[in-house]
Amino acid sequence: MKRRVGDFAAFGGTPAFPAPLHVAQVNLPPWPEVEASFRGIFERRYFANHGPLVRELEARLVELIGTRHAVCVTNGTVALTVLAATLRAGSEVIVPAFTFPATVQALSWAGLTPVLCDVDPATHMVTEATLAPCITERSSAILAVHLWGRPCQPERLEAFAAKHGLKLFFDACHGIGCSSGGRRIGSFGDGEAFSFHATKVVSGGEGGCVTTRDDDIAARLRTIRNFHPSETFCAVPKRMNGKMSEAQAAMTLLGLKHFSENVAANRRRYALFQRGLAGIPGASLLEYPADDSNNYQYIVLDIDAAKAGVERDVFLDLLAAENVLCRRHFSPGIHKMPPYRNGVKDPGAFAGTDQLCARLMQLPNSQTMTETDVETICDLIRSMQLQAPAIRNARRKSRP
Amino acid sequence: MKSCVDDLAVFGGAPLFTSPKPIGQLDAPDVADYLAVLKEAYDARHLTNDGPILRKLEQRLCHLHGTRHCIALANAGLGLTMLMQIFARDRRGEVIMPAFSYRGLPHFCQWAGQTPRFCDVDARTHFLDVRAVEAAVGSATTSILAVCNFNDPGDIEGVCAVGLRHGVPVFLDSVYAAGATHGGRMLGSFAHAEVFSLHATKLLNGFEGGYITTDDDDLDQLLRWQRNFALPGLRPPGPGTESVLGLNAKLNELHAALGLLSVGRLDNIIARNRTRFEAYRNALAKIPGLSLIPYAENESVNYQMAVLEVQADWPLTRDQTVSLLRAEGASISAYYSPPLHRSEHCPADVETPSLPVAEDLARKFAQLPVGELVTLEDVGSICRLLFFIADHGAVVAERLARRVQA
Repeated sequence: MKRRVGDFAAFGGTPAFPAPLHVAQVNLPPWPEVEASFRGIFERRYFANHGPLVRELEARLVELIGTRHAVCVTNGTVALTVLAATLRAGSEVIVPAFTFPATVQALSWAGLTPVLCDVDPATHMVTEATLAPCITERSSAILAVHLWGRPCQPERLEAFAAKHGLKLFFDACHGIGCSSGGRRIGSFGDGEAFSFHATKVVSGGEGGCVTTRDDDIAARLRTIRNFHPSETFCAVPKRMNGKMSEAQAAMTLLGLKHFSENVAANRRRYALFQRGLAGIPGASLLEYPADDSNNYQYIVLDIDAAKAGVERDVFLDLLAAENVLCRRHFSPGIHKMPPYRNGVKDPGAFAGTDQLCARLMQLPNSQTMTETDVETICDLIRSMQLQAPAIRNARRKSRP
Repeated sequence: MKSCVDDLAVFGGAPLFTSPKPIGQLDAPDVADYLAVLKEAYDARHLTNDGPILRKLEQRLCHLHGTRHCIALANAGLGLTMLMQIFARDRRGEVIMPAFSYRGLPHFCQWAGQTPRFCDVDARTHFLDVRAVEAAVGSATTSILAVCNFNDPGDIEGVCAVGLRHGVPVFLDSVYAAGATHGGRMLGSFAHAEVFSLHATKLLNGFEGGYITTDDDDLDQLLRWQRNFALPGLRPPGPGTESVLGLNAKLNELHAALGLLSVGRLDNIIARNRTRFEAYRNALAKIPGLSLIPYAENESVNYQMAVLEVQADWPLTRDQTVSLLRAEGASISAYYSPPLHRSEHCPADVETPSLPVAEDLARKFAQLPVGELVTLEDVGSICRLLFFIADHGAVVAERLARRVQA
């Protein structure tokens, strides 16, 4: 435990960790399994273009999620983009301002007009109340986000979208293996997009997929992701190379194979964070609903600076100096980001988003972290809060 | 070998090849070499996001092409799309492109919010016809996409001069001309930027992948920023950032590792391609009605493709020839046919008048099997089959016609 301000690395102390800890999961399967998979690819000499491993992965995802179709693609952004491209170009899609930029960028690439809506600061996600004011005659769909793998009330949003005649899509990039009311994320709405980026719980290095129960949307997705005559299932206005390679599929399949043990490790670390951060004034750890399954890949801390005596960004700076590299996902909100800020009519309509952008931080949670690492991070945060006045003084003095 | 017309697979005979003979390069190093590079990424726990292997690959490619910058990407199509989006600078306009080219081009341009403006091509090089570009360029033009084809990069200077006169950026799709020179200089540093592929079927294999080369420092910064979501905190200081739409176009380390090995194998890949190409050329020289599209003389070329020209005195049509070879296990297709402005890939609201050269070229050519899975023996078998067809042309044509009627 660092007991004096001078002990913190930001003020001349020794960093708590010799090398940086990252938010990224980087869940690697055992090397012999990686080696065997790649030997298979080279023996088959089948590297890309809807190969056997991609087909196997799609079948596995259909089974795991309990849906009809899984269409694997280059990455999560491509997944969102091809899904968006199944909509009528030129129409409006309602999307939260509190999300990763790619959620909204995908709509722009697809020729749609994103209409930003606020989120509920309690759940971090859209609700009927935040969506309703954004519906216009030009609306064609809602793109909601299952943030942190917590379900975005999908059953309620299905009813809401149906009532308004809108398609309902989900950005499920955080949500592999999570569920809502006993149903897996990936089986809701008209389509859901997943990411298998290296930072995610299931990794293909890069990778993504779209799941849907709708045969027509699946045919469109499969057609949009490539240009091959033999993989053309309907007429679509725009197509791209969105194909996943055999290398990505190999890694993602191994990621799924080790999914349960990786989630169990995440859950153990989450419990340690829960214990280690308990009772720190102004610091609350995001909770995961006990009745739904989650992958526990995100350790999200909400900092109430008034109670903690330390601002979120000060925690970030001080922790970074200790080699604990936390992230400010997401800041700024999309409504303050070019080019989208130009289309915002009422910047005051994003109070929920602004609050979260100012308060949330993600703590490292990677495969290589030990119990001691987690305890050390918690101790650092606790001692920073305990020494809040002294930290404020020291920062004031160190300003030029 | 076929001894009678009934032996042809199209009429029920046994196919010449039991496993399909592709038209892609499909080069691969020894798996042990690949695993050794991959292990570096695994041990560093760095599988994407500007990884060390990717950086090494970008350096090697800069060296290969003699350019200041190389930006590695998830695939070449994303590279073309990104350039069109950046060059449009928030305007909705037209991208001038050849009508005789790859079917993806009009799609990429629509993702970038642009409309394709198809132009005719030069009959010999198949590169954009400079006069057609001059006639098409106007206030709506946001960029000019010229395609350097496998056989001859074409009049790059002519098209660049038109772009310069009108203040319109010109960039090159050099996917099929990788490794080739133009005026003795390696492609990569011409025009504002060039786009190459690392797809397994192309000269350099990175599973999937692509890259952009450019000497423009600001464009390099914009592209690096764009490929990583154009995140606000990483905005480069140069001009043009306001209209850049971000995305994930990152090349991962699994792919970069294979691409890196492939660059080191380039000379040998081209040498093997040349041997296959010359085997085709020598054999086809003896068959009336068929020839290969020649490669540019006095330049380095990649010999990656063998494209057959089916002439008027060949007994079958181009499409009949393709069907017949496909039935024998050659996974070939007609070359750039139909032309883009007459194809399903042309947007519904784009009307293009007749482009006679593109339309004529689109009727003539077929790709022959090439790449590492095609042996010289396979080339010999294909050529002997073509000899056989030449000898029995009238009967084969008549049988095919009868089949169509039935």
